[in-house]
Amino acid sequence: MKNDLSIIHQLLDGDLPPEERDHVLHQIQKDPVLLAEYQALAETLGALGREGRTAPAPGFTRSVMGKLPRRRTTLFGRIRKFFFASRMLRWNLASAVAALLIVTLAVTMLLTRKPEQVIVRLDLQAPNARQVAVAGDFNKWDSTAGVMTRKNGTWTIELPLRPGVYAYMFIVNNEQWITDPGAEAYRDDGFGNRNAVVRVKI
Amino acid sequence: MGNIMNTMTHQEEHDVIDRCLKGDDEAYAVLVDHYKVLAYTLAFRMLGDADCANDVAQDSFLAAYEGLDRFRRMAKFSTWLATIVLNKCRDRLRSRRETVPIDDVTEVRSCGAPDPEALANAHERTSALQQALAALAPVDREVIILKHLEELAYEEIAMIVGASVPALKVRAHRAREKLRESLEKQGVAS
Repeated sequence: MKNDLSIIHQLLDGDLPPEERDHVLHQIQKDPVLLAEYQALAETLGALGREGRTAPAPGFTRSVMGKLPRRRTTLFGRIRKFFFASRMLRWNLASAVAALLIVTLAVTMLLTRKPEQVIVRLDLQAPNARQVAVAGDFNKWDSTAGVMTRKNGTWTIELPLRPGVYAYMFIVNNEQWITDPGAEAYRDDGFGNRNAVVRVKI
Repeated sequence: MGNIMNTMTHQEEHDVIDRCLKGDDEAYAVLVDHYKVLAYTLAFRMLGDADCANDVAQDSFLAAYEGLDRFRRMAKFSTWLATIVLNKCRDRLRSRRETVPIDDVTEVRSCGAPDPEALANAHERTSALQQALAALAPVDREVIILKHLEELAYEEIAMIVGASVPALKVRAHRAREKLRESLEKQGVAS
């Protein structure tokens, strides 16, 4: 009888292979004492199963999360979290259109922006000249591009130039290249002449 | 009855734990939400009181959070959490010096100092089964809960309670008989 009761508990433990389980169940059903014992235990465990699991009160998770101590993180960890933490992006159509307009405007301004320029005035005293022009780095040394205007014996031109250093020469009467006697600096042109130099700053 | 302890894969658990360890505290809410029923059920069935069970379950999650970096990755988080819950339940039961007979189980259940009306209501609510569970020795009670309520294998129960499988089977055998006897006395089981 003791061994038989052990078999019932083996059955309840779920230790028996399927074929042996069926055999044991068959044996139990043939023995009224064993059957009563088995049914009582099975009913007991059935009552336990019917009770089931119990859920905690609503708000349990929130309550636990509210009690968590702040975990110390390294500076690297915080930086990493800042950049790699998942974020929920909430948007609406009006915001999206506004953002698109701002981006479009910014890109347009960036693409159409003119670089800052400085007006540089060059002068040459040549009262007897018929024509004076200036050629230099700013106009690819085109002797016809920078024609100067005469005013009381002084030839003048105003050039819009971006910051930088430019070499230049004057061309008088379309044939004589002259170094600006009033230049702030000079540079050898590599061919035995000196170019005037102007430095443009903002 | 499904086993909630298996609904999150080992890898998913560890991914969430990695996020927690990297400072993503919100990831821990995933674990709490997933295993709160396990923790609360264990505590409630061991202690028989909703408030106590709530305290123990919450304390267990806090303890697990603080010990996450020491969590042994070979074990499942649920196994580890169940161990923590049961240890806390044992501490509570030890502090109560639980040697109270079945008929006085309502008083045993009180964790703090509930008012008399609450005690009366609690007594009414107490199921015959809960009283029968309370009549078991704690070591037998935890095995019967883990085996027949949580439907765990003896090998996993052995990891949780720190006892051998043969010893657990002896406890389960004894607990089933005692449980049946208690329920029969209350007229619940024949």
